[in-house]
Amino acid sequence: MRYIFGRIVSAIFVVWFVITLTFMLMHAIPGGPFSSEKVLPPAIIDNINERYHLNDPLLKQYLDYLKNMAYFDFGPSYRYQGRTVNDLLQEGFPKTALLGLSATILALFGGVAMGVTAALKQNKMLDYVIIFLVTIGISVPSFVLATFLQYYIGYELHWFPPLGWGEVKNIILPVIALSAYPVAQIARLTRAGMLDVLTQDYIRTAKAKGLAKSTIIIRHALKNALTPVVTFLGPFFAYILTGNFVIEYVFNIPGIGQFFVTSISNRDYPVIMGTTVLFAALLVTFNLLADIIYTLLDPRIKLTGREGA
Amino acid sequence: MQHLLEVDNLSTSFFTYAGEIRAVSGVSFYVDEGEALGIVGESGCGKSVTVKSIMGLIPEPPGKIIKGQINFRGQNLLALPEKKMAALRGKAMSMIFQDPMTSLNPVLTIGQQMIEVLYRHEGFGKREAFARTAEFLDMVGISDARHCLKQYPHEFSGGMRQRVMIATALLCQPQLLIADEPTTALDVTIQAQILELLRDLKKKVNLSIILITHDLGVVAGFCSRVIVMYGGRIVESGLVQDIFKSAQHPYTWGLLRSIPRLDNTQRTRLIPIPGTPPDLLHPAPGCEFAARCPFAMNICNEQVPVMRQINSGHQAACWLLHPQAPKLNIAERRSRYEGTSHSGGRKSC
Ligand SMILES: Nc1ncnc2c1ncn2[C@@H]1O[C@H](COP(=O)(O)OP(=O)(O)OP(=O)(O)O)[C@@H](O)[C@H]1O
Ligand code: SF4
Ligand SMILES: [Mg+2]
Repeated sequence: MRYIFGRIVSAIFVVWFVITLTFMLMHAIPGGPFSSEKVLPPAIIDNINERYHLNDPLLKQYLDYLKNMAYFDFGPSYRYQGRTVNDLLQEGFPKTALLGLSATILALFGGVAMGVTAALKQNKMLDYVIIFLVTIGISVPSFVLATFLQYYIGYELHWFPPLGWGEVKNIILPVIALSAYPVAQIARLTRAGMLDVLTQDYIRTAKAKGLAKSTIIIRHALKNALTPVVTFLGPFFAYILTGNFVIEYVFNIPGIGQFFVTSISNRDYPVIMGTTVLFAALLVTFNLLADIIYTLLDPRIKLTGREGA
Repeated sequence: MQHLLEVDNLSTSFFTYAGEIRAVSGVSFYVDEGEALGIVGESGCGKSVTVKSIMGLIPEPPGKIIKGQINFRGQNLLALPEKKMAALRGKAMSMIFQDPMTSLNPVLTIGQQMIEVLYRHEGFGKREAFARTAEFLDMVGISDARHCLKQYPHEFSGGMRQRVMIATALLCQPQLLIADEPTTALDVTIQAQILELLRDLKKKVNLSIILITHDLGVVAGFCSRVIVMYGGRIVESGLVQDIFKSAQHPYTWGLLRSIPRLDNTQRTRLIPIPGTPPDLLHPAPGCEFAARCPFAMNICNEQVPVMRQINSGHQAACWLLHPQAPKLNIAERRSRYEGTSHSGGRKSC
């Protein structure tokens, strides 16, 4: 428990660090949010800067921002008139979350199922087929796969809509594109883990006890075989979060990722920062979650890291 | 009378890339109810493969039982479908293994690993299963069952884990317990305790035991009969006193030299038999032991020695037992071995 508390504190620290870093980077890049496009009269620019407190000393801007952040207030958007960053995030987040969650579920269940199947059919046809798919999933970048699916399945075959959002069938292609890589990785890790575990003495013991084959595989083997998969969960969540950017862009899904990409070219500071902070917070949470799952799977690992309290 | 277990002409091989490894060739023996049979022989001679064949635990592929019969309670196990075999394992016959450190699943509690056997074979409810488990843990000398059941294997010492393994193996009150080197991985003092425990249990419940060991000394105190294996074959078998007082096979003589003497308080160094174990990929045309045998004769390299009856229950496979072979006395046996033991490498068997 004390360890978890410590981890939460350090997570908050990480998020703070990310806030500070993005804040500094944003302000270090030359050109302000309103300096592009047509030249505005200086009076108006001044007015705008005043309104968004851009004339304040940097330190004051920073402290104000931190203060608002503590109340989960990300401030107004510079680009979308009359809308706050919170509005935009609230609008985009459900889509991103649904996409990410579906990809996560598919990756976990599909990957584990494929890995177990391959291991049980080692060196048989099914194993080779799965290894082939895994190799493709790992080596083909998600934007290539996304474009490929969009073109062939979407435009040519018309099985699923190639673009857009709103209906269930819209989500199929993006989820496949997003989860291909983690499915492949998880399948690979599960297969290797299973093959290793199946030769262990305790599996022989389980057989000697006359347990049913399904019991041996699920109860005795899988739990042990998943340890390497759990260590992959941290990078996995990071992949899903960042992968969203590309996938949302390719499939034109109005999620957070797309806001993020457009807000960068718009220099919409508050949106950039809000998104970054949200992603950092999610990532830190997921990593903590991965560690907790790790200890649940393997009782030998104590979260305390030191004595078993 | 029908034997509890009868193994007849069992041969098990492993088909690897290098070729066929004849791990067990033509092994026959039996075990009666309430009896303890010892199987001894150096590493790789096929002891584990023999008992795994009985339990149906040979990994297939690469392993395969090529021929033979295994009758347990009058039932031919080799003809049973895997489902029926699984129903026997852990219920009518159980097995404990050499390394208690790795034989328990690290991610399941002791309780989960014990109780699942009762769920599987006896259809017990939670309460019943718990009571039986606690009773058996108590029987193997673990008194604080309630606490112990919630613990994980890594919280236990090797000796404790082996006690758990034994308790688990006995939960369904099997008729046959196969103990494959149950003490080899343990400290000497713990070894003695575990053997004492097994001896106790054998008396308490009418249990037949097959005890595999490297150590003839262990057999002496535990078993009524012994079989000695070499290169996948039985080279000698008989009552314990036959083997200890009047062994007939040179390999057994070699093994006997390594038993600690009773008059010697210090455990004597294991005296290895010089030479290398037989190559199971390329079986010798004659006696497998010929390359290492101080008494080898011409015929030994040409023909496999047949099993000869010495007296009821005592038999050995060696050409020295042929009526025309030269007779050896005890002194001669010893001196020939001494002559060779200095030249050989110190390889423990
Ligand atoms: N899975 C396997 N694949 C290939 N060969 C095997 C396999 N299991 C056993 N063998 C072979 O069978 C032979 C007999 O092995 P076994 O395990 O029965 O020896 P053992 O008498 O029990 O030795 P130890 O005292 O070391 O346990 C060995 O030479 C080994 O090479
Ligand atoms: S048969 Fe020959 S080689 Fe084999 S043990 Fe007997 S004497 Fe030695
Ligand atoms: Mg063995």
